[in-house]
Amino acid sequence: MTEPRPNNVACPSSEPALRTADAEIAQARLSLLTELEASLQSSQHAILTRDVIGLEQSYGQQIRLLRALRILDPAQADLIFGSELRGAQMRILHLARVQAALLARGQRWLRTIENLLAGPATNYGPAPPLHYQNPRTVAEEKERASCRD
Amino acid sequence: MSGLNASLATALSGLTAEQGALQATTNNVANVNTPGYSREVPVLVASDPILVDPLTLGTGVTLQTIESVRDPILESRIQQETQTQGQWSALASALAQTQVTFTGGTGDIGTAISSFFNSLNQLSTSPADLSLRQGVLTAADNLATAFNLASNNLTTQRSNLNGSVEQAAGQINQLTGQIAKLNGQIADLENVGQNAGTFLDQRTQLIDQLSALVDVSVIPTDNTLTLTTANGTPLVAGQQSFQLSTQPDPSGAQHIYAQGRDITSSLTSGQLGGLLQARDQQIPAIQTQLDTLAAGLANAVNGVQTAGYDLNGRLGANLFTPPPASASGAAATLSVAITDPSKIAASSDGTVGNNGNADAMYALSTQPLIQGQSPTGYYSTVVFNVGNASANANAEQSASGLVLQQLNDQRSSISGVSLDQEAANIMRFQQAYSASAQVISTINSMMQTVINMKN
Repeated sequence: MTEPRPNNVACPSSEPALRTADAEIAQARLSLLTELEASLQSSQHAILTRDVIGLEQSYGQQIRLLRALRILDPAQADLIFGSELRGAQMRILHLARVQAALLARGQRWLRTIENLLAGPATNYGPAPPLHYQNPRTVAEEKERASCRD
Repeated sequence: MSGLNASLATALSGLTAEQGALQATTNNVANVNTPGYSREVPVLVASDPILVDPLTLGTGVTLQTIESVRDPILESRIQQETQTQGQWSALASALAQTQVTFTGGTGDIGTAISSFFNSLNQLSTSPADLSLRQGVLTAADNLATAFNLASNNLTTQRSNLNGSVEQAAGQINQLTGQIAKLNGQIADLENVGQNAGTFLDQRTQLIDQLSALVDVSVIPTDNTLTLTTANGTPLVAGQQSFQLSTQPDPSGAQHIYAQGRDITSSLTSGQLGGLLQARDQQIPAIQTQLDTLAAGLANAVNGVQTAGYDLNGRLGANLFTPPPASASGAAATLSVAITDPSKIAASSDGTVGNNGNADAMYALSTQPLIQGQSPTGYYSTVVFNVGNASANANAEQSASGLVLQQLNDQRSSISGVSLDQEAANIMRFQQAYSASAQVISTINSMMQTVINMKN
């Protein structure tokens, strides 16, 4: 009776096959990272041009890519395309930081717009009821009603 | 006034106005590649009509003014982003230099800590071996030197940043002086109804340059501008500029003064803000962490060393000179206190072959000595913090660059010269000019007819 082989040690006969599988995983991981890099660049452009639809699309793509990246085991891939993967990861990290910085700027700009829209006559009293109508509109309605009469 | 002479005057007004419009277009074309130039557009208005009962007759056209096309809100955003970029650019540059001190190499602190503990590990295999003891002393000396070098590099960097602060203050003074002078020229022209477009462009460019240096708020007033820092310290008011000055504090750090008041802490943006942030916050924080590490390590090693026995059976003396109680300056002053290798207390019971204390000193390498972390762990945190701050600064700088590019493109689309559009304008004005000339020619012919009738 032979001792069972530990799980983490491959049979010599299956080693080349495993190496091929690892290489494929590494290649897939690298291409996903490259795709993520391109997606981050396009989402940055979308933030800058205030293209909300483009931004949503990029985010959707990024979420899909991240899920795919989580599935692929990085341990083996890192051994095969070590420097290329590290390079891609560093670039993605930088792009993600830039994106965060751009979003922070966008948020500041939105706050400014919000304050501008609020105007100097901000009402600090209770919020108007839901059925509230602009007095001018009410007056217009009355005028219209009298015209109809 | 009516009749042929009135028509002649009307046609003449058309000629004059179109000539002026052509002049503006020609100037636009000539300045197509001038940085900061805002295109000019002629503002044509119909002249006041006259009443000739029962008719109201037009009297032609007047070139009211030539306006430069600008978007003040966009310019304000460009100035704000320029300030942000100046700040992050200065900070990123400073942190890149700081990072060099912490780049792994033979002389860096991380390697020196590892080498020191490795030498203690080797000593524990043969505690009486003088060459191994000498190895510990050499490694301890290298460790102290690595701390001294890193601390001195940071001090030198702070001193260099001091020089940059002084230089930036000088540049700010130069720019505010020029802006105040331009304010005067613009007011003089606008007060007599003239177009000050060229001077306005120059002023905008100077404000952009000033924004890169310091946080500026621009407050437009009648025909002029007031510039203040973000906290309201005046830099320019009309034709008067307010100079900034620098004075060193007792530690030698240059402070910025405006009208006798220290405004250093209120400057947060622009290159000056970034330099001050690096000099007064980032680098001192790193220096404090280094001091904490040096003091914690030296105290721990000294504690174990003085509890053991040296090769002569005597109680051990401090291996490192005791750091100050506050730990301030510990990295800069760390040094090895003993030179005799036999004085290393490797023995825990006084016997020559005992290695208990050498083992205890080696064990310090994995103990949570500094804020719950091992010496190498704490040093890794310091390196990570420096790298992280540097990466953030670089990312912020890139983000500012992208935003500025976008805003400048917008400014170009509004204020920039489009040769296609100008070519179309030239044709438009030329045709209008020709038409007016044709009217004059027709009136001339009509007058000739009238004169011939009299003959």
